[in-house]
Amino acid sequence: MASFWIVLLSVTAGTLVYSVFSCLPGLHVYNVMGLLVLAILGLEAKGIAVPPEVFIPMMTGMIVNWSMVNTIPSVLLGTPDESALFTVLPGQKYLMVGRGYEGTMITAVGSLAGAFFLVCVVAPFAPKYLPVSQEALKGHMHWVLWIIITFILMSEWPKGGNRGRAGWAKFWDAWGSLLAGVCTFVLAGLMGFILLNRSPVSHEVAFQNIMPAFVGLFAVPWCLLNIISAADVPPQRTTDSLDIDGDIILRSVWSGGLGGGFAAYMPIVTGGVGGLLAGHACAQREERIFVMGQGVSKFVYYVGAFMFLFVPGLNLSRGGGAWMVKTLYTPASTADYLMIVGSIAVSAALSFLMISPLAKLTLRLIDKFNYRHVSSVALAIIVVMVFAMTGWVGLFIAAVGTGVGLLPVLFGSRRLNCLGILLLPIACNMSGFGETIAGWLGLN
Amino acid sequence: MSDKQSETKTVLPGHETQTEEMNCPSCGRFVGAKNKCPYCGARVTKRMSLVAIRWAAVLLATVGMACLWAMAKYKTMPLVKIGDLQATMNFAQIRLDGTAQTDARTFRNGGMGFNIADGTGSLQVFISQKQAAELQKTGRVPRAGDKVQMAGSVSLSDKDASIRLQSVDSFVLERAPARTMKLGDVAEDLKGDTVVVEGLVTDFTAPPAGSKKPYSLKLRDDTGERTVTFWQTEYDQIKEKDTLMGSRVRMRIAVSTYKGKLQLKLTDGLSVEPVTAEEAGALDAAAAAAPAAKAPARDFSRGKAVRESVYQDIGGITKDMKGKTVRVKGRVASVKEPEEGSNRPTEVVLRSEDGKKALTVKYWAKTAEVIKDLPKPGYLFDITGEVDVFKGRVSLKVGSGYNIKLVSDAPPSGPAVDVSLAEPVNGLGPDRKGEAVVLVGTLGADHALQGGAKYPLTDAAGDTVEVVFWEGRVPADLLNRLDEGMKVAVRGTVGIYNGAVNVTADSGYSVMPLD
Repeated sequence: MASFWIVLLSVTAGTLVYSVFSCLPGLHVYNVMGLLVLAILGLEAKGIAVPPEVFIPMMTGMIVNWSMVNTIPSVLLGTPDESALFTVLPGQKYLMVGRGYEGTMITAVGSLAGAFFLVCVVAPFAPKYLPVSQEALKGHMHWVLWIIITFILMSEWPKGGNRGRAGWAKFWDAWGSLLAGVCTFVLAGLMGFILLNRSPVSHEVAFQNIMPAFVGLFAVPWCLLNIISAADVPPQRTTDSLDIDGDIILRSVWSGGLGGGFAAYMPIVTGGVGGLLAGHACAQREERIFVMGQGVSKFVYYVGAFMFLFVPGLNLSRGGGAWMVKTLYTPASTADYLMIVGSIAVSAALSFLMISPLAKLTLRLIDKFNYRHVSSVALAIIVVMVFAMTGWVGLFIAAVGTGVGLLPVLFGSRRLNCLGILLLPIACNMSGFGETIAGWLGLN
Repeated sequence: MSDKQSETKTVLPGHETQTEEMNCPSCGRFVGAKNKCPYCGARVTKRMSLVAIRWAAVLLATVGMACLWAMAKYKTMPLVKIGDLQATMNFAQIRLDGTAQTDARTFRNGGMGFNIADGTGSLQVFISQKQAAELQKTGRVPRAGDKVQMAGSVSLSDKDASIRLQSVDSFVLERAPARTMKLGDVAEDLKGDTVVVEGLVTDFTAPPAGSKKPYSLKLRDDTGERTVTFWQTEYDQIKEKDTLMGSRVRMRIAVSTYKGKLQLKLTDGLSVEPVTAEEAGALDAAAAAAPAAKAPARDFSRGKAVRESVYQDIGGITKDMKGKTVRVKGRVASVKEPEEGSNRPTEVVLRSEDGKKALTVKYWAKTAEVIKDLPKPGYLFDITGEVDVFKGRVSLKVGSGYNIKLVSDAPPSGPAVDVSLAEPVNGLGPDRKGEAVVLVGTLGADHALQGGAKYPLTDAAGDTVEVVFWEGRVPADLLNRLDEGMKVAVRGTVGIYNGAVNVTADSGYSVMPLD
């Protein structure tokens, strides 16, 4: 019984404490989890062992809370992470017509629906079916990744070229953004090859060697754009009801669950890619489904990927969170799995209840402080964190990543192309020619 | 023009407070940082800062990437001791300098793996299929004892540690020096050793097409004739294969046994080299000059010579023998490896052949590095060490890995489990927790556990109990033979897990198929 209370307290503490961090734009949960891992290892080095019943539920609470509450900065501060890519435009639309709170809550309802989907639908069947499917699919992952890459690049469409003078000017107008997308993908891929083969980050903190690049590719560009752009947020209003119904929720769970689930299960594929594929597969055009579906997708992707590590017989390491936990603890029994499922349920409930007051509080802050200032503070936190963990080298990598991450934003292509950082090198490695390419680059 | 546009544009609700450059001058929609409206395609004039930042981003991305690439290219990967690896080093790209603890094993997918140790710890090395093919082609497949320098990416979890070879270019192998022996001196006691032999090729047989048989080559010297076997990979590596028949050659072979018979396997085709007439003459002269007897074996006991050549009875080792060097023979009951990074020794429990007496044998990582065949449950070992007493307990401390020798990996000749002691399953209850029992029954469907497996065992009366077999305790060959529907006798200890009674199989050959 003592274990029960320890787990409950830990998951509650993780959820409540992390809700503050979740509201900060651009601060990814895996970055904070990295600090937590360092702290746990530091304590262990001093002879103070932190039991898994404490840190695992706590980390679960952090991931669950972040995947739900982080909707607030995504919608209200316009600094989404990569997996919330598609909520930017619809979310910003809500914000720009004074309905930011409603947009946030619709996404939050999606996250809650995602929690139900994960706990009530996926969790009971996962131990029986996922190990079998993993066994069947594990030899096919490489070509699936290549198909995904092809789809990402080919589904980028020319934006322009309809008007103006014929010739190169018109050609450039049409293909400029596509070229920017391909350049982004290639540059990010090159960065991935460098970091995965010869990361300049110190080997002593190698578990975070991709972190500065991700911060640069995704977090910093948005903070920078928020700071330099002249956009003002119009007055926001709150509401007691949401313009959704059961049909919309079910359709959102269908598309978001599929996208998030695919991303959680497949290696390297993230929520944004999963959302893109599921969006095309499910052909849901309704804007509310789009917004809510991203709530589902984000939750299922982040939390599901973490949960899969604990599924008996599967123990799949997907996502930074799972990899970090694996360095501290290897799940051994069904009891661990039940602990995780329970923790997810408790944390999801708590997080959802916190979203409304936190969203209102954030709106009040935006009223009081210009959100460009909030973005400046967030940027400062991110920079300090990157420096603290990886030093000057990490900051340099983040700066280069920022350059690449700004390309799609400024040239009108998809930020998804930045995922070339993992997709390209890993797909090459899985196909057996990653070493050859690394050799061409002089990185062997 | 701009004034005209601002007069005529339609500003959407909520957009009134935006500065001009955030909205489309034509349709009035919010366009953010874009300089072309994604809705109507109209140009949106931006302040200089935003246009400049676009090209600054291009510059930062390209120049920064070039610097990053140069930085990575010329960076020297750190040389890390295995014992210094920490959890925060997961995914680190490091260099290792150590010794192969085991021969490389080929996996079903064509990849390879072996264990590397550097005196501070050991790590499993994974080699991809393509890399394995390249290593085979260049004759760099590691064998136990070879010096290895490599670079790779570390994967650490709280239970396992491994490193994935980054590139075959960075893989440097220095073969452990092998003794040159006469063919007649190659005997079963060299099992696991790699030696160099030379002689005249008297016969060379390729396997028939489609056959799974290996190539075989008969080699003869003045002490006898032996057959050396090898596979297509090694055959392809042999440089002068066409002139092999009838030529005098030198080659490196691994000594092993197959179905109880001595087997000589060619380690790699690149080691096959012709022996010139001068070399052959010099060698024969040296052999003729040298006494026929073997050179005395090197003393690896570090000054503690074995005083008794006969085996000491395991039960006869007492506290007052502290400091004495003794030699024992017994079956390994269990092996307890120290935790990663720990300075504790490996503890092996050795049982007498009758299973009644036990002795704990301790050795440290440094010692383990040179053990040819690491102790495994169920195997018979010959161990020489110094009697030690720690906290009142007698144990055998082994200072040299050469003093731990495998005698036999075959199961004991007598029945491993005394079936006459079998008792019914329904007699097992929580009150018998910790008691030793013998059960006879039929195994049900297995359930894999991390580090073992459990089977339901149903006795003749139809009562069932779960029996757990741990890999570290029950020999792997025996564990692999177990299957659903097999009738077995099991010796184990009663335990309770999740409120239910179960039996954990004892160490060693504690399960005996009865079919």
